[in-house]
Amino acid sequence: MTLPVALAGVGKRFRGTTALQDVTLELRPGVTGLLGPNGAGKTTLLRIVATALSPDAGTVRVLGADPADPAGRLAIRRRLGYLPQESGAYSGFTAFSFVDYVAVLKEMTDRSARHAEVRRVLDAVGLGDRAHQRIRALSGGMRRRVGLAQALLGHPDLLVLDEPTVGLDPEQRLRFREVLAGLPDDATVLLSTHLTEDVAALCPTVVVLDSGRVLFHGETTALAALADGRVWDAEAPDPRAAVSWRTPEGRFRNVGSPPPGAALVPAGPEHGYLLLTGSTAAEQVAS
Amino acid sequence: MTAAVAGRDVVVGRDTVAAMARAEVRYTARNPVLWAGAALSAVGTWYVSTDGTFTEGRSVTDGYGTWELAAAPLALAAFLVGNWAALRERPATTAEMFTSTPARRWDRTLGLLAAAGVPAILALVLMAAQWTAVVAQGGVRIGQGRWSSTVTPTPLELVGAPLAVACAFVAGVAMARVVRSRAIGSVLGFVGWAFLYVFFWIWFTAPFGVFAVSRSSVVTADLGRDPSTAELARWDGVDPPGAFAETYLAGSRDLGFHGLHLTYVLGLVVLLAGVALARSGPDRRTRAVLVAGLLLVVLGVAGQFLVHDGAGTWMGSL
Ligand SMILES: Nc1ncnc2c1ncn2[C@@H]1O[C@H](COP(=O)(O)OP(=O)(O)OP(=O)(O)O)[C@@H](O)[C@H]1O
Ligand SMILES: [Mg+2]
Repeated sequence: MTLPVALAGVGKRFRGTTALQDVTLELRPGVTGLLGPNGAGKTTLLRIVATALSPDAGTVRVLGADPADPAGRLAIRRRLGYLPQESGAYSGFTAFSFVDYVAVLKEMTDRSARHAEVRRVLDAVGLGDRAHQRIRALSGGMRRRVGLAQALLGHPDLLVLDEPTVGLDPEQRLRFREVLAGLPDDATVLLSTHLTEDVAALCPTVVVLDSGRVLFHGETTALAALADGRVWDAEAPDPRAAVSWRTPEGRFRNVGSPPPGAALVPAGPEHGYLLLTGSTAAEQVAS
Repeated sequence: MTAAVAGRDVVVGRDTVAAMARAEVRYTARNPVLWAGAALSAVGTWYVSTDGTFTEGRSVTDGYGTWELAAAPLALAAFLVGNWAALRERPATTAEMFTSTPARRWDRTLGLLAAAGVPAILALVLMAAQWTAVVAQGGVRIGQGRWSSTVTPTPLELVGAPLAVACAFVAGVAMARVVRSRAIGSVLGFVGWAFLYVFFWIWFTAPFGVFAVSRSSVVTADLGRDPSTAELARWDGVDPPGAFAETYLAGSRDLGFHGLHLTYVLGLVVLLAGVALARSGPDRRTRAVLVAGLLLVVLGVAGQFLVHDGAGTWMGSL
């Protein structure tokens, strides 16, 4: 079986900034979450996978094709859905006509079949009843869903979603989970997020990216397991912790190397994530 | 072409470009700015068709010489609509979203260029209405007083305004692909439009008349202060010396010259389309479009100089 996404030694620089460095990553079908702090390189990585950006170094294979080759690129784009971080839309268009336009760009030339597909994706994101409102009259979260709807057009084999849950209310987040759950098993989803809850709820697999490098790639449960026995509760921030924060109860949660006898707390993926990114942050400060 | 030249495996098929064109035609046909321009042009057409501009016999540069002038507001609207449509997509957002679809920016530009047909058809309808009104009044009168004659406009003279309006739309798209700002593009377009339409008398002088985007089929010549009767009789109409000129200004409809001029305008449309495509990403077909446009322009311009001796006389009548 060809891997839906295979990156080897991928690097990307923007003038002075290294956005990605020697990224090697192989994704399998299913939902993979991409976690990382601001500026980690998530968007850069997703743009490369979505054929919107070419890397400076390394090789990229998406859905078995090479995006650097025109024929490969077209083959990928025919099977791809992409939601950019800032999706935007033509504000003077209705949600229906905008998504319909994208459907035309996706080679859906039969008008009635295309309209049926546009209605399907708008219903999927809960915009069925708003389809004929102008986009400028929609709320920010609804506009985001218009972006999501266009990504779903044509049942793509690979969905690349850059922060799809930003701006969605809790009900819409649930609906988004349903949309992902309703995808066929052989579809591949790569989505970035800042929310470890999203990862826990949506993504069996997770990639943690920081400063353009892959720090972790594995099952989400394995990310949580990294922090097993390393999360504890205390009266005060602990200097042995990589990260500490105040809980709503006024106590402190610490992630790092616990002192003997510490009040350990069950670990979740967010703790594993903080352990990974917190320690690199600490190293950066030290160096 | 698409499939034959580049292959379905490298670029989207002709059917997709056709679907994009249909979508752009629909959006353009619904654009209120275009309809506002068309409404103003319709008022202008109605005015010049009923106030005797073409039938009463006015100065050769004034009456029939302004045959296409009523299309001016439509041309401006077409420029703006084309420009704004091409700038709907924003680099960081929608353009980024569209990048990952099979249709490339080049294909999207091609689809949009097809929508130039919408304002062109509106212009054709207006010109047909003007033609019908003028023919119902017995035809066009060229020149004034003793030296005037009446002619019936030909179908060829219906083509100029639609071509000029299509040219404006395509120029708007090309402008958008060169200057990314709607504001700057619109101002530049307005200045260009004002130069082409508001100072329309420039286009009766050589060599500018050769390069006008919109002009009538009337070609003028300065006959001096004392032309012979035979010379006066050779022209469809003559303005005697008056308030504006001390010499006899003659004008005749010259369909051969006009046909070559329209060839030049068509070339301009194709050339500007080529510029818009060239600025929309690589595609090997761009060159063919540019070459075809350039050939038509050269053919039209050279032809005009060849058939009209006066075309090369600096600031002479044309
Ligand atoms: N077009 C660009 N030009 C210059 N620098 C860029 C560009 N795009 C990204 N960068 C830089 O590359 C680095 C990675 O950016 P990227 O957008 O991939 O991060 P991210 O993980 O998506 O961040 P966020 O969570 O804030 O969206 C950053 O330092 C950013 O400043
Ligand atoms: Mg980002």
